Amino acid sequence: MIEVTNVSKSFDDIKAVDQVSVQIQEGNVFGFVGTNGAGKSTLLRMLSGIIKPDSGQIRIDGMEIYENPMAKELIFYISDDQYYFNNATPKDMKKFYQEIYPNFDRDRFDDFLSQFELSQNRKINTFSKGMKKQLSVILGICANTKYLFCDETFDGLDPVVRQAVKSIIAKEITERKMTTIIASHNLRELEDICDHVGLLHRGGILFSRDLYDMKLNIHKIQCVFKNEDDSQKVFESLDIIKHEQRGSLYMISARGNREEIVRIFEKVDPVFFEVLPLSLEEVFICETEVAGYDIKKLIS
Amino acid sequence: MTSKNLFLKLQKEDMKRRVWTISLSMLAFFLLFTVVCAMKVSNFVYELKRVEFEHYSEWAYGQIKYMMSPTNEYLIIITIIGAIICGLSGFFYLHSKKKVDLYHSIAVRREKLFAIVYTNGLLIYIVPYLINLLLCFIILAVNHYFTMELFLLAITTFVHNLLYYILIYTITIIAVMLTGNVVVSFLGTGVFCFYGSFVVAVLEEYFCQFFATYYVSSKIDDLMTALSPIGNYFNTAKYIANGFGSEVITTILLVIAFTLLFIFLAVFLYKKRPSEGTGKAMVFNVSKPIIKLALVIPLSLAGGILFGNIAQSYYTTWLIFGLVFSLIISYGIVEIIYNFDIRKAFSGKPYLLGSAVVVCIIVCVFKFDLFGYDSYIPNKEDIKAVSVAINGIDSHIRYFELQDLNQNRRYVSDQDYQLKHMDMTDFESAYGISEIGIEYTLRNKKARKEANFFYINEVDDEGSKYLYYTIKYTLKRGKEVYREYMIPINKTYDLLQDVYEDLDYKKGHYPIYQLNGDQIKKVSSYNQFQEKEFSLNTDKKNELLEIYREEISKLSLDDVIETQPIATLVFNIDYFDLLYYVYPSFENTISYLNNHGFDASRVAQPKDIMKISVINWDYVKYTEIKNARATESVGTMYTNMDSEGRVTYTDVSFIEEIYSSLVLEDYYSDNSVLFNVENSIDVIVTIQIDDHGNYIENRYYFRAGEVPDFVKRDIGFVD
Repeated sequence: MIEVTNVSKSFDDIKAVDQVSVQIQEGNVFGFVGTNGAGKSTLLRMLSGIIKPDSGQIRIDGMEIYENPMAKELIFYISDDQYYFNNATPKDMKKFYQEIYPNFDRDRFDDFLSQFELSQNRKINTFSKGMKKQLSVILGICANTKYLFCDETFDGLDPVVRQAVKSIIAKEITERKMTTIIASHNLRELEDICDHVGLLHRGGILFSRDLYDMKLNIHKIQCVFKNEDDSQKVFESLDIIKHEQRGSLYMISARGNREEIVRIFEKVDPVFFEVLPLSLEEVFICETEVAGYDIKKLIS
Repeated sequence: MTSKNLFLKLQKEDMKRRVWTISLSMLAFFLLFTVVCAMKVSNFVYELKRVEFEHYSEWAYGQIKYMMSPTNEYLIIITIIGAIICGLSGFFYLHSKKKVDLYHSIAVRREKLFAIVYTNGLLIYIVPYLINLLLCFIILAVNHYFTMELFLLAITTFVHNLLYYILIYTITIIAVMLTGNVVVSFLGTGVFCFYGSFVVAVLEEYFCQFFATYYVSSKIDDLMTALSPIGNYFNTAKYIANGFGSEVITTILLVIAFTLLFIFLAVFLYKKRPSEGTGKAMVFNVSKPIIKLALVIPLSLAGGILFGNIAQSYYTTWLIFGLVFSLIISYGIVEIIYNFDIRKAFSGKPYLLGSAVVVCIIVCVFKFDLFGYDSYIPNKEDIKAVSVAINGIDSHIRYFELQDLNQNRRYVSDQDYQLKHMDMTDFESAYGISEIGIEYTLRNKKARKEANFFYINEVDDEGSKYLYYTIKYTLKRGKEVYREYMIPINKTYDLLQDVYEDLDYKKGHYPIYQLNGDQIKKVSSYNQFQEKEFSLNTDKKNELLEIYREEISKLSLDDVIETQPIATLVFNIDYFDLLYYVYPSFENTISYLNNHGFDASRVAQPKDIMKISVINWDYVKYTEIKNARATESVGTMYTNMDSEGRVTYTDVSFIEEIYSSLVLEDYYSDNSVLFNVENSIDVIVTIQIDDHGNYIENRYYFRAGEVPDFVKRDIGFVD
């Protein structure tokens, strides 16, 4: 388990991370989302033990991460611009990481390279940005660490490869309970892989929720009431986040489980009602608006 | 630790990243050792077949020895460049965020990472060095040049070079640890290598310029060299090549101690180095103001003194301009480097102001002598002993130190030697001279100030010669205080006489007191009539030394002025000669020399003098005479003068009168402060030295005020 407690980090006068606390359970895929400069990379670099928090604690399986090889053995950090040695080939990098990570799976690495059609002996500096990203994920997966930290890893990957990479990570999570943290400015990229998301803004964490719970607990309902009294009754019974009215058509976002909401609507027997699925983005829009923020300014 | 062999494996991986450095190192040593050795040896072999030269083989061996010796400058330069390159390139990753993210995210402690990279940096130097040295040995052995002496010399050189390689390499790494940019790291290395010497040089210049009594000791030069690892490197190389002396062993031990300290410091800095410092000029915020002030203040002071010295007149005005200008420029440059932004040149103004205040205080301390440096004299009760050096007396004496196991000499300045080897416990007179010295110093300083000009013509009102009087007070608490005064000799002559007659003074003044018969290779003597080399065993040499010391200890300043040496004793030590005058009062020495076949008592008498020629070089008078000759209006005054303006006397009565007023030019030069001469008049005395018509010519001066009237008339000389 990863425990982040009141962690802050400043770079000169700039507060990059401010009093962040979060717990990440084993086997989870945790997404940090936020705009550029929100503090995602800084938080990940602190989680990887690269930089030291000014205050607060970061523990991985109960161990301090900074300058602790025992804790670092458990993690693999893929930075947003992974470094490869000058003139190195994937084979060279494999050899290097083999020395660092004793459980490095060489055969799997070779298989992945074939699968992604990356040459073992081609110089990495001739690779495209996307190919380098693929290689970094392959190295990270094959390191067989308990925790994998990815910083903007899907950025620059084409949709097909992105899906392939996501499915590899998903497989790892399923097979060996790997815990993954993915930092991204793109909420849509996290939607289909994360099960927990933390929204970072100006170094602070606005909220951290379980995606499944969030999706299950917020619903969008389209309906047409027979009269104003019915609408009033529904509004009084529901935990409404927001609503819009276009003529006689109501668009309502409300908290609560689907069955309960359906029961409330059935009670007043409206002319028409439909509970629609919400995208993660829509869920976030609702949540952040409640918190007083304009989501469009927080994520892209 | 993820694997038992992780260290070695990572070391191997790191080596792969540093192939270019390894190649460079191998190439440099291959060219410097293997290729040069092969070229030299093949040339020697060829030449030996072609020419028959008695000492060629010896010379060739000397050339090979030089190649292997610590003084091989090429090797030293390669070592310095190599240490800087390896130091910068090894930890180059600290200047890149991408690289830092990789290296600092892996499960390896920073100490281990440091050890891996650090050890590789050493191996990159050591392995190519030793491989090529071995190849050299093979080439030499095949050609019969290899000896155990050469082997030991090469190993000594290797150890010496390695030591300084590690020192400079570690200093470079410290610069890298403190900075986040390769250019700034390089500049930082330069600062660390020369900062100490620079600060000492600047302070030394301030002491020289503002304190009239400051004594410029060669110890300062030694300190400046010692404070720079590079200067120190060259220095120890020179000393080791001459054989190990106690001084160099101490230096080497200190270098080892500092190197170890620097290694610990580098590891400590690496552990504390924040990864986010990458790309910044200075990684540690705490070091920023310290380094800033440490650079700006001495640079400002240096600028001030530089402008002042260039201008000379209106010294203070230009000094202030230089201080302000250098302060602003150096501060701006440091801030630009810190921020990588020219617009930030004057950010952090409180530090600029602080630097200005510190600079101002330092300059005021020197300019107004706030601590009374020039007027300081220790209390008599606090003084254990004093040593003095008087410039202008016995300038022919050569000073040296026998300093190492091979008895190699190191020449030292007259003052340094005397101040080191003299311990006068009866210092009343020496102290009295200092008091007069302070009085004159303060008077001269005031005159300088009033003249608003840095250099003024420093002559005594009464026309007396100034002497430079350097004194070292050894205080009872162990401290040594040095001062130097310029004093008119007529004010101090009696005190000076007392000092000169003190045996402790003589022991420090004449290095003959540290000589023994074993060290002297040859003894000879000469005067105007003959020259003789003596065949003396050690006991005889010691006997002569003893006699001479006994007699010179009784020599007074009056003797030096009133009499002139009748012979010169020459003590030869290897390749140089020590000259000691024999005065007429040295009866036992004269007797010793007489007994060994040298007639020391024979001096030139007027009857031996064939002629005396006198020329007046007074420019005005000389021109007047020339013009008179041109217009043929020469009166009786110049009738004895030849076409070159020379008047020659052959009459014994004239010769007798002139000769008694003369002082030998060389003797005058050796004791210039003791004599006043008419140095615009040249006197050439031709002395017949045997019955076969052989003669010598010696140059003399008239003692001041003793030019005979007939000579004055003949040469047109006016007092």
